[in-house]
Amino acid sequence: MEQEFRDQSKSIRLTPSPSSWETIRRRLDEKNQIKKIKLNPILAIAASLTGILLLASLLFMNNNREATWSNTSMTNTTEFEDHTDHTDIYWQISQLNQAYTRLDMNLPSNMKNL
Amino acid sequence: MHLKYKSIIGSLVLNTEQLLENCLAGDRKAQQTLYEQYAPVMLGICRRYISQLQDAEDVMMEGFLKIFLNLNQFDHRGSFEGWMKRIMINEALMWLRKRKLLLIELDEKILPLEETQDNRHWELTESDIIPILDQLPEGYRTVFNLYVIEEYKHREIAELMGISINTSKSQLILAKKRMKHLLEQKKQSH
Repeated sequence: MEQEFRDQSKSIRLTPSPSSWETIRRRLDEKNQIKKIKLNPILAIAASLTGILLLASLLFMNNNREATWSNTSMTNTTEFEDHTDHTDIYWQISQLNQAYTRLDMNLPSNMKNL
Repeated sequence: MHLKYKSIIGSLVLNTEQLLENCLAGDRKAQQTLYEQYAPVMLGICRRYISQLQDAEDVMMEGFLKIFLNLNQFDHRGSFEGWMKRIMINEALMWLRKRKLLLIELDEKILPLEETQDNRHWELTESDIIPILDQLPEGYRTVFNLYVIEEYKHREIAELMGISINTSKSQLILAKKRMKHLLEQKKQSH
């Protein structure tokens, strides 16, 4: 019985439906598309490193710009303080002038020019 | 005459090699030729394991997809048809396992320990095989297919199906017993 089964089974042929090859072809095409999208791991690592470097350089440039800006604002502040100092000096000179007047004295000529 | 046959076989082997190379390169025409050449045999194999033709065809298509996607793993040592058959059998077993159709629960105490020798000639034809296999439970049918037709060893069947060697042996004895009963019925009806 076993031998008969073995011999007869080997000659079994069944015709698949006509659409079956089309289904296989379509699925092979889909798999191919996915394969193309998937990146080579080495390329993926290289792309990641490039991305990190780009990000780092952008951050570095941004920091530099901020530093320049803060330096500029400090200069402005110094100018403003200078201006305030001048006012103080004018005020001090006027105080001095009043003291000189009270003592019936004249301010030195170099101070009058200020 | 001998030389003539040798050259015909040689050219066939060469054609298959060329076809495989083209398939490997992703040539759809070559893949279609290969499919058309082997699909009837492969569907026959799947149908021996799976009782519904539509399900068997789905399994065959899945098998061909695996064949085309893993063609680079074929080492050219054995026959290409043998390699394809193994993929189809694995696919069929996976399909049965997924649907839990290979659940075999047996009380080994009631199983026959020895099978009786029967040398009767049953005059089977290829069209008798599938209708007889369809009448067997999935477990009997799978072990019978693997042992008798594919000529796997009980150890290999046990590994493939995730059962013990003894279960494989007992399933085979029971399958043969049921098979003989079915063949006797068929003979009597004629």
